[in-house]
Amino acid sequence: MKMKHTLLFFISLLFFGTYLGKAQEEKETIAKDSIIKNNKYGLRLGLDLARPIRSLVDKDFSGFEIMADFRITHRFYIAAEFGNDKDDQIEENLVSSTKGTYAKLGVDFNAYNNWVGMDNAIYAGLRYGFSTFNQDLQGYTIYTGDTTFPGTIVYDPISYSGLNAHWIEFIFGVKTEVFNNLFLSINLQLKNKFYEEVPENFNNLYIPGFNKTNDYGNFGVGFGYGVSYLIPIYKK
Amino acid sequence: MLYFWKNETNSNQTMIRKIVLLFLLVGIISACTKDDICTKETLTTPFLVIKFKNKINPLLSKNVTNLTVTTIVNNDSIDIYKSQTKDSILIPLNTLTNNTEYLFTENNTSSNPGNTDKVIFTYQTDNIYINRACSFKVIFKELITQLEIVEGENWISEIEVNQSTVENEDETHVTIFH
Repeated sequence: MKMKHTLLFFISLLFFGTYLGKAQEEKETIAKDSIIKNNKYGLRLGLDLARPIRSLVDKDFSGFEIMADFRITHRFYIAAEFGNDKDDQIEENLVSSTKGTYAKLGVDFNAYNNWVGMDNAIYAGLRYGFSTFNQDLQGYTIYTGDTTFPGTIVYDPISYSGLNAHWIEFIFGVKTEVFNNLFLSINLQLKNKFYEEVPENFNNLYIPGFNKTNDYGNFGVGFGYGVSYLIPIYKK
Repeated sequence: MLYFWKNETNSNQTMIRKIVLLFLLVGIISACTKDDICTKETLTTPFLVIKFKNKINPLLSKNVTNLTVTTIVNNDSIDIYKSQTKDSILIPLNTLTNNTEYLFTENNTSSNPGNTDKVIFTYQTDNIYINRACSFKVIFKELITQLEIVEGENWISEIEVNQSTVENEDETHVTIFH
């Protein structure tokens, strides 16, 4: 009898305890919610700084990129980039130049747990990218692997227009709010192209937005430094 | 308050650490990008493959004793082979012109000048893209040969073109009977 009562006591204590704990949790979440109303939602517009800087330093390159993202949930953003590149590929045996525009569309996921009122991001994103471009093969030498005869240099510029390429891109980056609504960001991009229109008897050596291609696979890399401004639309 | 401030510094530090890591990653990836080098395994402009066969029994290959193979480039004679005994050779064709002249000398030693025959190889060229590092190669088409006949003096009896398109070095393009 005594034993039964003791058992009942402990069981009810257990139930009550969990209930009490739950009530406390609920209270906490309610308290949190009222503060989280500080999260800014809106359209963030920006400019890539890496491309204009490279345009100044590297005479074989010029380009710009604008970027935008729009926050849709606590962690997810719709993101897009749009740009224009011109790049000369000066290789040991050939010279080619590429000019064209590109667009990238996708989502970003912010993995960073911000303090209340802060809006920084360590993010990962996925993009679909495509580019339309022209390529000019300026000239080349014939590769013979032999020095018996003087080398053949072909200087006969050929233009290939209406080329295009499509790729999937993973993007990793950090965004920091340096002043109110003003952000600095850096990102790293890994790309894998899945379709491209290749000129006959030549190849796409550079694809705007995808950057340099290589002889070994469909991979491309890129990076960006961005400065962007958030136009707050509502708070949540 | 102090606790809060401390925590903020920590989160800033991890942020900075992550930024540094990202910079490192960019550096590593760009450094690890393979250099574009035209490797020896890449099929570039092919050499002409010539086999020497017996004029009496055309099925048998026959060595040429002390063979010297010479071409003339800008008035300089260049030896591709010098006094070697061979039954097959590889020689380059000039990619800049539509013909290449070769002098084939048998029994050429330091004490004996040997017997020299002149052969002109005539062809059309096509420039074919390989890749970024190797750029373009040439393939030779419509290959024909012409043996300069010196009455009673030629050691070469006949030249046969087996492949009129020279694309690789896997097959014999020309057979010389002697």
